[in-house]
Amino acid sequence: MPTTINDHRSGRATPTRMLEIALIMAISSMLCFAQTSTEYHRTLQVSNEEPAKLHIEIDRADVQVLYDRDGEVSIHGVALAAGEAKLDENYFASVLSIEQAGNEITVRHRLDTAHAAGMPKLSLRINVPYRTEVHTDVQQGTQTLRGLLGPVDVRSRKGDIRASYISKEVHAEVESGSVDLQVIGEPVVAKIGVGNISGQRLEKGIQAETNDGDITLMVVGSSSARVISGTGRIEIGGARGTLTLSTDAGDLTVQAVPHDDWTLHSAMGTIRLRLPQKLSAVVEASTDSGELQVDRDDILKDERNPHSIAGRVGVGGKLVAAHTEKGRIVIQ
Amino acid sequence: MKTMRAIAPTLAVISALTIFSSLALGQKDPGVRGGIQNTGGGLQQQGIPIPHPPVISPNPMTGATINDNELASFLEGILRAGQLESTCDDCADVTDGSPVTGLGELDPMFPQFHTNSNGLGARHNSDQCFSCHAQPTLGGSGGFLVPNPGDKTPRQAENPQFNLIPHRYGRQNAVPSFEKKYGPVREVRFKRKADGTPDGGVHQLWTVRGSTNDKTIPNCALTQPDFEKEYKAGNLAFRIPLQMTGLGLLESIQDREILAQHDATAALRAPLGISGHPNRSGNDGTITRFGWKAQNKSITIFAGEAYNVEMGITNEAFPTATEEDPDCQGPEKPEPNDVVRTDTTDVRNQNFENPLHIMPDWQQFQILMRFTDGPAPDPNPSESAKRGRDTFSRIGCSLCHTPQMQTAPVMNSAVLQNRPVNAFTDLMVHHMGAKLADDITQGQAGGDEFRTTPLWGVGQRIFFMHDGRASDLLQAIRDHHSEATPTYPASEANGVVHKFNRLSPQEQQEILDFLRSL
Repeated sequence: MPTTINDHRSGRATPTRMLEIALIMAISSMLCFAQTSTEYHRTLQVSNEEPAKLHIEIDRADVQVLYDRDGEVSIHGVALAAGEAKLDENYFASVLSIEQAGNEITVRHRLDTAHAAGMPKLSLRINVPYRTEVHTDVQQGTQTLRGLLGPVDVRSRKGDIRASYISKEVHAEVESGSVDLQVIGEPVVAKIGVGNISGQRLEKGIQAETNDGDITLMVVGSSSARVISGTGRIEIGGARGTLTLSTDAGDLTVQAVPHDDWTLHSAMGTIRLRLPQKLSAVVEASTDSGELQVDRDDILKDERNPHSIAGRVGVGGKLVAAHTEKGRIVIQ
Repeated sequence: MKTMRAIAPTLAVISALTIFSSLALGQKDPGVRGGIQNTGGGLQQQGIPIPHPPVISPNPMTGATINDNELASFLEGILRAGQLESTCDDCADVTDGSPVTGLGELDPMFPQFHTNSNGLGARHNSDQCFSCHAQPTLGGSGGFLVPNPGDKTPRQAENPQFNLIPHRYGRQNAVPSFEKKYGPVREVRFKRKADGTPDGGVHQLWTVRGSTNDKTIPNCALTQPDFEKEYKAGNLAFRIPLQMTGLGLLESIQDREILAQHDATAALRAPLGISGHPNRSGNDGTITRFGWKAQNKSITIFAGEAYNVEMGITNEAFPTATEEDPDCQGPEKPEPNDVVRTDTTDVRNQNFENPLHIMPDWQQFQILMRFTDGPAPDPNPSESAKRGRDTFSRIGCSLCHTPQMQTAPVMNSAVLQNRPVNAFTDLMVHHMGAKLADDITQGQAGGDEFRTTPLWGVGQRIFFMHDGRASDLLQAIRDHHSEATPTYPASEANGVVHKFNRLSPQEQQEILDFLRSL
């Protein structure tokens, strides 16, 4: 016999019926409060007198730290449930903690083991004043930082790092992922286990190192770049200081005016130098076994020594030294 | 006792008069919100950098935020607008693509005290955008700056036109008497030319004569106009710099919205004698809206004009220099100076120095303006300010200072489209009478006509009215009043000012508090 409202109202409730009612109420409650996404928003006031300091410790989330306005730090989080899973409205309270001590703010995210099966996708957008220092430690997730005074120290186990318009030093380390850096005012360090490094307008230069990946740098101050193994390439355009570059089997290409000394090395990759038409420098290029090709009129090869050239070009100047063990050298 | 009874009414009247009098004297502009020491130059003189302009806030209708590319352009714009301009094309301390030897071209920490851009004109009003736009944040209105940037001990902030700009790098400029040490940043227009015909153009204050950082112009002998003579002759009209924040939002308002808002208040305006009309482009007839007389059509035109007129830097929008004396340009300075490089050689497009093709400064500047938020009101206005808002509307201030308009429903930028703009302006020009008239006609704005100044940000401004004549909001309100003369009609604001004057002192104070909350 089906349960009827009248039955319920009549007060003839049995234990089974009560269980049914409890179940219905529980489901209703879940329907009311569970959702496929949930958001979080909090704004903290900070003083203009000192820089803000932001510490971020994240287990798994994409994080953006962006300049917005002075005087406040605002944190906006969005969590999207995986598949058919639901999130309760207290989700953020269970995974995110925010502490403030004066101008120092710490944002921590810890994985909620209760949601381990259907892990929500979490994004955090943190708007900060221009004068903000940032330290991050992210286990997994993309990090984007834009428009900050810095310095910025960004660490990640797995995930890409993008930083642009940072006025002070940037230190980026990631075990697996790529690093892209644009318009950085002070020296940069980028170290990657496996992944690419790219940079533009790094005025005070970069120390870039990847075990396996490409390095592409445009308009950089004194810099060093090293691809430790594999076929990763290095490409440089618009160097504005010293260059110390080395690859393993990957090609190494430089197109720039030699404003300062360059030292280029590859184990097997081709070294390609694209130099301006009116060149003044001292060029030393040598290969252990590969070909040395010169496509310029102002640099003459010594036919008796086809694997090496050394001499002044134009009125001389900074040293451009290139050496490869088994690769080619092309000077254009 | 009888005596007391006899004099009681008199005492009551005296007491009432005393109370009324103290109230009457009591209404007072509360001053720059947050205190002048906490904004712009006040911060700078405490060794605290002037805050950057705020990024445009999320669209309140959709939640859309500035996108990645817009934010990058905005940030690039801050770098460009902060640059300190050198005179010749390649004599900046730091040039784009040059070797880096300590100084940086990417220095966003205003004020720069080494030159990191090129093109300062032979005549100019300033050598840096933010010199005249730094109150209360960079990109704001004109304010004070420390006169000795870069020194360990900052001196008291003052009008940058008093000493900093005219004498930077040894430039030999006489400072006219109307540029006061603690007065407003002023630029100058001449009302009439020497032959008596209308002039109306900007006459730049400074020249590059004597520049110690440019060896290419040793024979520059430019002299400044005789400002004192013209001042005494009543031939000068001053303008002060307004904030450039929020201009992207103003630009995003369609003409139809401006006209609809205007039409909606017609019946209320008529009895008060308020008419108003748009200034319109002579080219396409659409409403122009930027500048004190709404004379400029777009932010892009505004930016191009500012680079050329204020800094003397020619560009694609304004390709001709205001001063072409070859002795003061240097032999290698190209015209226009700040352009997108499309040269076929590597000399100027810097293929080997800088293979990145980037926008010219003036274009980045217009993008910066586009994505800067409007000035933010006090998030916690006082009860007095809240009441003042109602009174402001009730007496008719809002008939011209329209509290809100809406941007176009569909735009290229999601953060700009279909959102309210709380600028407190109708973007119309109005007759303001002889007392405010500057006798300069621009487009369809006549000699006594001015655009309704947007009041957003007025809470943190130091100077008011087009020429900076007032630094007190109460005075600024009263300056809206002007009777008819043979030359000009009465101010359209007279009716509203009359209503303001009839308010109780407390109500007047509430309006002042409201204005300072904006």
